[in-house]
Order: sequence, then structure tokens, then C-alpha cells
Amino acid sequence: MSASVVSLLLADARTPSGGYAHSGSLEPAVAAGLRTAEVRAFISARLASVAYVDAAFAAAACSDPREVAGLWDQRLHGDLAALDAELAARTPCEPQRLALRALGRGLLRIGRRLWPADERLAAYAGASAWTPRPVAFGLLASAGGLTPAEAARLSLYEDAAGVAAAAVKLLPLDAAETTAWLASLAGEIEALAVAAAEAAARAAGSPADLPATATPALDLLALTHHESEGKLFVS
Amino acid sequence: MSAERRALRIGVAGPVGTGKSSLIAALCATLGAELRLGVVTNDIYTTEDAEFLRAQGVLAPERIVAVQTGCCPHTAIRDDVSANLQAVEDLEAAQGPLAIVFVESGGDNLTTAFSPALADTQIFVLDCAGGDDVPRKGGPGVARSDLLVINKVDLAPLVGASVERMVSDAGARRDGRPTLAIDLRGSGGIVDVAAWVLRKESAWRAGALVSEDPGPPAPHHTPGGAHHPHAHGVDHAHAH
Repeated sequence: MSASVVSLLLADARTPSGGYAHSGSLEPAVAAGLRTAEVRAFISARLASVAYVDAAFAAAACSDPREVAGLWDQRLHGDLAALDAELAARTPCEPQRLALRALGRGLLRIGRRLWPADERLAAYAGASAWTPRPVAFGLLASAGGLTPAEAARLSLYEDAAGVAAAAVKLLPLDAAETTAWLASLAGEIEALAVAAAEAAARAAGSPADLPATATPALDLLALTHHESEGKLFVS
Repeated sequence: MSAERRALRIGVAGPVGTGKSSLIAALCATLGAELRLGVVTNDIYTTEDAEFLRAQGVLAPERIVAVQTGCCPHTAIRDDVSANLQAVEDLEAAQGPLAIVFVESGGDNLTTAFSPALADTQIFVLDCAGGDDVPRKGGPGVARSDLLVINKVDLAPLVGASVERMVSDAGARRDGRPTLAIDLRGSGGIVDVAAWVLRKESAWRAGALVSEDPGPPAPHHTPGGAHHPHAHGVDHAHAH
């Protein structure tokens, strides 16, 4: 399968991995008073923080350890478990951990269907109790022959597009407007993708050095949302 | 979990207010003593259906779980079943082994149908009060669900609906598939639905379940001629 088509598949919201049921905490932000005119800034803030961290982890998981001769078996399992642990340390909020798990499981279901012979996907699906989205996303990108930078770019785009799609359902908004926002964020996404891939490369072999950002406001929104009644989105 | 060991998954779909939750509650009350049952609900906006079922006391609360579908109840049972599939798997892992898991769709329109990846067999629920012309309008749920239930026949004289017409129109649409006209609040009919469920469960255990698939609401073809399973995705602008 051509890598560019794999990119399209991973970016396509119609690829059934469950993303439509998540708002990236936009729903509790709207409930707390976020206005339509502020959604683009909300997306941008996510890109520079949680989405950037996710992208760096996706890039790290996409870096194929088989390139390192002799370390294959050990890194096949060890590196990915270390990525899980490092990401967990960056995800203090339980509802967000649950959301990452649901999204990662959805991705792995697709990945196992598309690349049943991929050993890293199979090993990870069998060994990880958490399967957070960024690691699963990087593994799918790797199985599909994408580079770490491409994995990071897609991961960032997915985050932004997911919030934009939720915004149309939560606020009086024309989807043409949110599409224009996504297009206008292209420069940010590209710069962050390059930075995330570089950060992943620098942290090769020492995943503790991967980026870490603190987003207490998002954490609090996720907690509020988890307890709230009458919600449309899982997260 | 192998097909023989996991629970039979029965989808229950149909328009809002036709009695999907009440039907599941009645089935749980009728069958719960002999079979271990679980329920996954898909409310659009609240956990009302799950709460209703818990309040009926027909099942242990932990065997009823609610799934949020991000305004897309239709997507959640057909185009992208990830969330429901995970909920069913988690419910079975936590409470299993179960004999049957009912998956209740959020009330939707006549184009609703379950994916075969989520439901092994499916019930579509209509009611007399929603208009006796609905079976004639057809759609995948009316025409090809494994069982069509026409509920609230007791209301038919009050709203000027003809049960005979509904059953006859459904028969014309359904090519021999069963239709049951029932009244959950009064004289019953639940016994017949429960008997249908038991037959499906036995067939499932025996590995002999044959299920209709209502199919996407509007099958279309790509230029290459291959069938495209995402009929819903191309017109996502419509209201759910």
C-alpha cells in the first residue's frame, strides 16, 4: 500500500476508529463558557500542548527499532512499554487515560485488520494493557510505511480536525468555517510536526526525554466532563 | 473470545419513543432468570435509557452500561462501531460469561441498521402511535431486520391507526421475515418476542445462526464497481 494512501486513510474520519465520539474536551469547555469565536484558539492551544506531546509519542512509536541491528527483540517490547509508561506520567487525569485507551483500541482494531502480519502491532496489542492512542497511532503509521514526521503531522491534524468536527455539533457553526480554521492552522501543524519528530529522534533510547507539557485547565475540564450528565461526547 | 463462547449480540433499533428500552426491560424480566444478560445503551444526550433499565430492577446495575456517541447514534451502530464493540467486550470481560448482550441504539430514523460487526441479529421496533403508514415507507430496518416489532397496539384505536394495515404492509416489505404486533403495557406479546430471542440464542450456541443484514441505507457503487461500505459518510451533513 502506498504510504501516501496510508496517510489519507489515517486522516480520514470515515476510517472507523471511534474518534467521532470525542471532542478533545471542547464539550466541557463550551459548557464552561467558551464561545464560538474562541474555538480556533482552543484548537491552536491544544496543538501546542497535548497534541504536540501526542505527536512526539506517535513519532517515537513510528521509529522502527528494526533499524537498530541486534536490539530488535529487546526493543520490540521494551521500547513500547517505556512509551506507555512515559505517556501515563504525562496523563495525570483518569478520564483522559480512558479516552486515550478507547481511541488506541479503535486504532489497533483497524491496524490489525490492515497489517495482520506486522509484528510490532501484534506484540503491542497483546502486551499493552493501556494501548493509548499516540503509541497505537505511531505503530499504525510505521506499519503503513510512514516516517516519524508524517506520523506526527497526522497525529496533530487528527487532534485539530477532531475538535473542529465536534465544534460543529456543539456550537452554531458552519463546517466550512471550521475547515477554513484547519487550513489556516497548516503552518502551526507543520512546524509542530517537524519539532515533534526531532524531539522523538533526540529522545531515542531515553523516552523520559520526550516532550512534556502541563495542561491543568484541560485536565480539570476532562474531570468535570467525566462527572457531568447530559453529555454528547465521551471526552 | 470465540464465537461459541461469547454472548449473542442482539441489536435493538427503531425511532425515538417506540419502546426499545421497555422491550429490553420486558425481555430481561422474562428471560433474566434463565439466561445471564447484559445491556449496552446508546442514548443521544443522556444516560436516561440506562437509568430507566437500572430503575426497572430487571438486571444488576453493573450489567447495564451506557455509551456516548458524540451526536452520531447512527454512526455508532453502523459506520464505526468501535465504541459499542469495546463496551460489549468490556461488559463481557467484567460480567461474563453472558448469554446475550442487547445493544440498544439511540432512537434514530428509518434508515438505522446495525453493522454485522456489532450485532449478530437485530430487532427493529415501531409503534402504532408513530403513524400506521411507517411500515409502508420501508427502509432497511422495516424491510430486512430479523424481527420487526410493532408496539403499542393498544393505542391504535385512540390514534386512528390500523394494526392490520401495519402488519400487512410490513408483510409485503419483509419477504417472509417475522413481524410481531405487541402491547408491552397490557395484554402482552412479550412472550412471543422472548420465544424468538430464545430460538436465536439456541441457534447461536449451535453455530447455526443465520442473520439478515439490513445493509447501508442507500447502497451505492464506486467507479471501480466495488461496493463501498461507507454510504453514511458521504452525506454527513444530515441531522442524526
